[in-house]
Amino acid sequence: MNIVVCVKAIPYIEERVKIDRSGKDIVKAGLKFKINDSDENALEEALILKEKYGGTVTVISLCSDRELTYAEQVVWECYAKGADQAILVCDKIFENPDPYITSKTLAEALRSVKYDLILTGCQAIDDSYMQIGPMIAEILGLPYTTLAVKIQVLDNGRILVHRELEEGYRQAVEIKLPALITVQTGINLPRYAALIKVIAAKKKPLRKITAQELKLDVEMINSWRNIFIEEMYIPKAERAAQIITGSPEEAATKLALIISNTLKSG
Amino acid sequence: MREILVIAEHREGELRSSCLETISKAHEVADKGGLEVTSVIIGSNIKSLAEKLREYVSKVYLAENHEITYYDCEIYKHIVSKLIREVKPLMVLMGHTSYGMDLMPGLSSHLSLPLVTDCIDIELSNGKLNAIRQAYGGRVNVKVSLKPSETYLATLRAGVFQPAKPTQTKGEIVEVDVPPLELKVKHLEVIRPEIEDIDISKADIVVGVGLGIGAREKIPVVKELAETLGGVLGCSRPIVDRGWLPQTRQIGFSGKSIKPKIYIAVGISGAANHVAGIKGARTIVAINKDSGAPIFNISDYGIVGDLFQVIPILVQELKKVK
Ligand SMILES: Cc1cc2nc3c(=O)[nH]c(=O)nc-3n(C[C@H](O)[C@H](O)[C@H](O)COP(=O)(O)OP(=O)(O)OC[C@H]3O[C@@H](n4cnc5c(N)ncnc54)[C@H](O)[C@@H]3O)c2cc1C
Ligand SMILES: Nc1ncnc2c1ncn2[C@@H]1O[C@H](COP(=O)(O)O)[C@@H](O)[C@H]1O
Repeated sequence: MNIVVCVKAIPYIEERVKIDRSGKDIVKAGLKFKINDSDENALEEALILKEKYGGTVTVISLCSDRELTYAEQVVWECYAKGADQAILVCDKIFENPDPYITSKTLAEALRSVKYDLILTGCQAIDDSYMQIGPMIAEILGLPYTTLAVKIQVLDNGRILVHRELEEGYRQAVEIKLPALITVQTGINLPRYAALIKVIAAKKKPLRKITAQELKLDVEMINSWRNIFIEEMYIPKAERAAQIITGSPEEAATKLALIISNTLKSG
Repeated sequence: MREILVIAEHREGELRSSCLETISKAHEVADKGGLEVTSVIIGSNIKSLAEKLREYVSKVYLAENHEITYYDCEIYKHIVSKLIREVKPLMVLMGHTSYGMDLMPGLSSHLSLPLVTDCIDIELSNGKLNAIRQAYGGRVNVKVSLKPSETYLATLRAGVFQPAKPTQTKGEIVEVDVPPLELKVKHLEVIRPEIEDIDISKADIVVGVGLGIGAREKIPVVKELAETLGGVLGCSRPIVDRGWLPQTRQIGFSGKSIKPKIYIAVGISGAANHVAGIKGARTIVAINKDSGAPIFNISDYGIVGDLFQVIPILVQELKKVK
């Protein structure tokens, strides 16, 4: 089975974010980047299927020129884990694309690739749209299902998928290949990429595709845009937490009193 | 009058609460814009649900067929697409739920209509749809506008809007055809949650452990806090994903909703999908080393610090005051 996995490099945030001068984005300079959570699960699932049934795993990522080094790092890690091919769709015109632009472009790039199954993450946790998987499927005319927490190959090109619902419920569906499935975290435990393998992977060929090679230009990309970001801001607190200050000892001691009083007052 | 069409969601013979929340927001937008709110419901044996639904909207499109045993992406997509083409609603809304997340992006591409997902607010301004949504795990709010369109699609975050109240008048019911379809994605069955060891949704005191714990071996540090308080240990999703605690302990959108007197979130960032499960907690306490963690935005008390320094002392002090 030939599988394509869509992977995105996302900023890894451990501290307060800052809004940049445009007021429409966060300050990304100085942030570390990593593969999006559920994309890592999607890759793992693809590798598991390849080990069982043979075939190839191709990873594809779309980024702007500025993000190229991050995307490359992510793709090398995918190689180190066992991906066979990598495609980077990279161009300066892919600065802050909206979900439809990303989907259209990835779908265009995938027209020259042979696949039976496309896997994406269910959500990129930076802008959290949850749109791209189903959109790519629809553009390519593939059936799709989302939020997979179990994928099992049946006979005759059918796949059993458990998709996650709310509150611990799941829905079992059967889907016919070729198809697209979005993967939820928890479906598997992703393997680690050994550092030596990541270094070795940098020698592997990387297919880079520019907008021009896909016959795309700024005008066309702009005509696809559905979502315009007007403003980004830090949300106001719903309940402003009373922050307990002092050394860890002092703060913990004060908190112990607050907790016991809260519980006593019922 | 142009319509705001809400795609109704139901499970196990009940309308989902997110559906009534979406209807309520739809009414708010409709009242300002001179629009009417309608709804489409799809499934088998749904006459009584349609009866209920008509208490909230002016028209219910009823697509009933015994073959539609459950939510089915392709059937929903087909019926709703046809309805959109015929009715040309100004807006089509659905909850940002496992059905909405599945259906709406496909519908958007299929009909080339703009979609904005997981909105915490929407407004119509000069016929254009603006929305507020969140990014970076709730750290930032993003105000967006959609490309001008005849019809806009949006999904609304569950738990944000008050559920609609029934109105005096009952809407009309319009039956919609369900054509035979050859499906490439077939519903097989619903799998219900496992039987729990402990029901965290009923506990008075819950301590939640998140990925800040770093390793499975460290979980007892937080468990001891729960035990000292006579409460139960819950967790965020990544803890379950890694197999460190069973699914029955997961708090949030895809886990349990809890309503304790006190919830203490330890090493949890406060992503919307976690927060969805703690709306009913009376007092929320957060311990997190990142002062910008969104969990502090919904907490009553907080300590910005390293849990490994704070928790042992907290446990020791709680034992004293007891
Ligand atoms: C469809 C869908 C459904 C989902 N359902 C759920 C759900 O039901 N429940 C759920 O929880 N999530 C759910 N999620 C995932 C959710 O979006 C978040 O990814 C998740 O809640 C993050 O968990 P976390 O806060 O434990 O981890 P992180 O976001 O990684 O946060 C860890 C936190 O620990 C802090 N920290 C690190 N070290 C320390 C230390 N030493 N001391 C103190 N603090 C420290 C960090 O500052 C950080 O804030 C769902 C996602 C999707 C897409
Ligand atoms: N720039 C990108 N390059 C490759 N895949 C992407 C990109 N953006 C999103 N995806 C894929 O689409 C999924 C859903 O993204 P989103 O709809 O933005 O939440 C991600 O988990 C990825 O698998």
